[in-house]
Order: sequence, then structure tokens, then C-alpha cells
Amino acid sequence: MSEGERKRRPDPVRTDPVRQASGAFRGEAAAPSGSGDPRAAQPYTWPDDPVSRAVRASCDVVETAVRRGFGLGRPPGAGASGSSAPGASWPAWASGRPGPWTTGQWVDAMTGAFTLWAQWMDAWAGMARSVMPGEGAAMWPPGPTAQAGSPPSPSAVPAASAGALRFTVELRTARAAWVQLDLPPVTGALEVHGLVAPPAAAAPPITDVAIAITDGCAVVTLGSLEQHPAGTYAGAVLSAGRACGTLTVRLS
Amino acid sequence: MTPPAVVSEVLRDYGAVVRDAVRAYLPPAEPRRYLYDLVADYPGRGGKMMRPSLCIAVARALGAPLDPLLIAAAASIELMHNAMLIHDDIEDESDRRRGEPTLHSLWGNAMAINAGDALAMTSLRPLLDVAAHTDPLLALGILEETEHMARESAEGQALELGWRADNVVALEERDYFEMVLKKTCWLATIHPVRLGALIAVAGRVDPTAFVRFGFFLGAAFQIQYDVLNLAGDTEVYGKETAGDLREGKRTLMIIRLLQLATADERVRLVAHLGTPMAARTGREVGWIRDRIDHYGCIDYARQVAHAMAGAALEEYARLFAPVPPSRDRAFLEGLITWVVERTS
Repeated sequence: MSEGERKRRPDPVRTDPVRQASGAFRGEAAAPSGSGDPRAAQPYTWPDDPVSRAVRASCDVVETAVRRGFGLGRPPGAGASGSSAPGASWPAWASGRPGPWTTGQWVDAMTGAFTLWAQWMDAWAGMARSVMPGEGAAMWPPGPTAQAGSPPSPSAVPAASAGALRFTVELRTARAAWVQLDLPPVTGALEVHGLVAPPAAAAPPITDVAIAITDGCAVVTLGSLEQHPAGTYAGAVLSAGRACGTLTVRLS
Repeated sequence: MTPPAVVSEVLRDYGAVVRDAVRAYLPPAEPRRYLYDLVADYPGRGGKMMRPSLCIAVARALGAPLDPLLIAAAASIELMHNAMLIHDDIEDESDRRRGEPTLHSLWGNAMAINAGDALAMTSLRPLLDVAAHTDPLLALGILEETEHMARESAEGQALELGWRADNVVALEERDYFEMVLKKTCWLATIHPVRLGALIAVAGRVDPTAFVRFGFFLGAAFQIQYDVLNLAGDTEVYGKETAGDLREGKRTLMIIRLLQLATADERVRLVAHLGTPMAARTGREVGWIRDRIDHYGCIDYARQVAHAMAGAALEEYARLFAPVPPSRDRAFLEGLITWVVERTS
């Protein structure tokens, strides 16, 4: 080496510490290739001392548990309300990540399915009525008595039967509503806990709703709807605690 | 290393908030003498309030206000913790809790179990009270988390009780950590952290990200707890010294001793562990304590606890680096040191 030549050390293998626990182990065993984690390409060699073996065992346990999954909590990216602080800067883990479906995701999916199903049935009913006059009346056709200003009477909207359970709607609101009940013949007590809109609509659920069987006729009672935005709301009809049908209400 | 003062300050401040909330759910109702006085006993003895403070601090560090939902979640955690303590003390046949006789020592197993049941059910009340004012899916998520935590805790307790019942001694560190993950970490750290995050971001969170932080923090906490049982000051620690040896618990130190003991020592140790608790002698407990010192098992456990704290610190940095500095963030960081340096 000449006197004026600068000494040059080789580039370091790493520039930050390899913690002896989780990061090191994940680099070896759990980080997927191409994950962007530089430690993934550098398997960590564990020292063979008792403490390191214990630490390695602990890492193995937690990584196994994490890989197995817990399937809890609310789906990432779902509609939010409540105590979320506006303007906060959320870390990466707070945005969507793929994973096993949680209960929340199932609820959202079912709500979406109800909505889609209601729209499809609406279109189908329109076609059926157009080609089969007098038939396809299992659903309540919007008539003058059911529009805004309907008197609060169970007989306000007579339902037709088409081989299925008859049903009647009692509206205790001035709001026009399109109502659809999908229910097999049942005899026991019915209940409906609420009708929800898709999460994207950010609408409050309709809770002032009830259903009962009277003289073989399902009577759906809808209360105040003035505060609810237009949209489709759907919910399960329960018989002895089990879902046996659906109730859909569309507000325009 | 001394834990930063912010840890004790936050534990004091949030502890006071949670104690008030807990007290509201423990009214002096009848039958007081046979139930509600017993239900209120452990919560009234104090406690460090680490679990509810952890929940609140995580939520607030992420920007959540200290609103009724957050306080209800924290109170629920503390009530459930106390309920489990009652049952744990019966299962472990422990004599002392928080410096006083255990509930079953005072009232008998039957009444203590009943009080524990009532307290466990009471722990759901704060969550149900706020559910009507909360996003239904978030409320459901919180209840799901609570149910899952209780199940994990029961599974962990079952592992430990089963090992003692069958005198299982072929145990390794991995077995110990699996038991600790379930028995201790879910209730002590993972659940509070996940619940705080879930509330702060109204459910838009991958709670799995918090499991590692909670696990390493909880494992450090449990190992230090086991060390204090052998080497702590009885008055400060609040439980009987070497009670774990008398109860035959499979702590990290016992597992290490089983690995290092000579053949004869191992036979004697296994015989002690297989003896019914009432028949275990103080002489044998003293001999095991001596062997633990001889083989440096306490130092070993302390080193593992510090390594767990180091891992928790890394997970903390990974999770909270994007979060603005705050008193709550400083508490979370300081808590990692606190769990391995505490004396009670």
C-alpha cells in the first residue's frame, strides 16, 4: 500500500444490532423470503448457551402461536366509528393485512350478502310480476297505503300469500319503505334484533322493528325511520334463537 | 437499571381511575356476608394495576381519549384478574395474597369459589354497560377478545395443574414458555395491549401484531415473579416465600434444576414433586432451595427474564416507532424495565 492511499475496511455485514430474541429467530424461521426484512437473508446463528437456548425456545413458542393465528378482533380496514382519534398517524399494522376471517369480517360479509340478495330479489320480483300478473306477490308490492303517511294499522298493507307465509307490515312512520320478508312457514315465536346497513353507508341500525306471528300471519312492525338515511337495511329473523329468514327494508 | 419514574406515576394515576370504576361494580349489596364482601375483598387489597394501566396506556399512546369505553375495558380486565386470583389461590393451595390470608383460607373453598364466579361474571358488566354506546362490531370484538383471553388462561392453568397432578418432570424450556404464554401472558399483557389497540383504532387493527410484545413482556413478568417467590422479601412480595416449591410448580428454575441435578438429586426432587402437597416437608423445600442456589438457577432465570425484556423492547420499538412521543409511550417503554426490576 502506498503512503497516500486510504485504508478501506470491508463493508459491515449488518449495521444495526441483531437482538437475540424475536428478530433473530424470525429472520431464520419465520420471515418469508422476499419480505424485505434484511434479516430474512441472514440466518442468525444462536449461541449454544443455556440462556440463548431458553430464549430460542420462547421465540419458537410465540412464532408458532402467531402462525397458528387467533382469528380475533375486527377486520382491518372495516368501517370505523367510536373513539378513534382523528388525525392520528397509525403504524403499518393498523392498515389492512390479509389473514383468516374474523367474526367481524363474517358479519360484514353476511350484511353485504343480504344487501346483494335483496337487490337481486327486487329485480327478480319486478320481472316476475311483469310476466306473471297476479303471481309473485309473496313480497309486498308498494301500494298507495304503504307510502308516506300510512296509518299505523296492522291492516294497512294487506299481504298476499303465494303458498308461503302471509305477512303484514305495520308502519308507524311517515317514511316510505319497501319491505321484503323471506321466511319459510314457521309456527313458533319470531324475533328480529335489528336491521343494519352495509358498513360503508355508516348508517345507524334500525332497532325499532319487531316481528310476530298472529293467526298464521307474520306481522312486521316498523317504528320511527325518520332519522335513517336512504339505503337498504337487512337483518336475520330468529326462531328459537336460530336464524330462519331475513327481513329487508329499503328506504328511498 | 432503575425503571423511569413515569412508570410508578402512570400506575398511580390510571390505577386510581380504574379503582374508582371497579368500586362502582362492587356495591355493598346483599348477601354481603356470604358473597359481596368476599367479592370485594381482593380488589380492595390494592394491587399494582399493571394490566388495566397497560390497556389504557396503549390506547392513549395511539391517540384514544380516556373515555367510558376505555375505562370500562380496563375495569373489566382488573375485575377478571381478581376473579382468577381467587380461583388460582384455591387451585394452588396458596396461603397469602397481597400480604393477607387468601380468600379461601378465610372463608373456605366453597364460598371462595362462589365469590370468584360472581366476580368473573361481574367483569363482563362494564363491557355490557358501554356496548349500547359503542360500534356493535367493536363491542363484539372486545367481547370476543375477552372470551378468548379467559379460554387461553384456563388452558394454561390446566397445563400447570396437569403437570403437577401427573408429576410430569420431562419438561423443557419450550414447555414452560407454552404454559406461560397461556397462563400468564394472555391476561397480564397480551389481552390488555390488544384491547387498548383495538379500542384506539376502532377495530382497524391487526391484533396479532401485539402478541409478540405482550408475550415477551409477560414472560419477563412471570419469570421475575417466580424469582421473587424464592428470593424476594416476603413482606414486600406479599406471598409466602418459596411457596412455589411447596406447591410443586414447574418454574423455569425447577426445570433448570431437573436438567442439572445429579441422578440421586433428581430422584429426590422428583419424589418431592410427586408427594401430595400436605405431605411435603419444609426440610425438603429447604434442600431444593439450596440446590437451586448451588446450580445458579436463580441467576439463570434472571438472565432469561432480562433477555425476554430485551425482546419486548425490540417489539415495542417495532410497534410504537411511528407513534408520537407521549407520557403513555414512555410508560410502555419503562414498564419493560419495571417488570424485571420490581421487588413486589
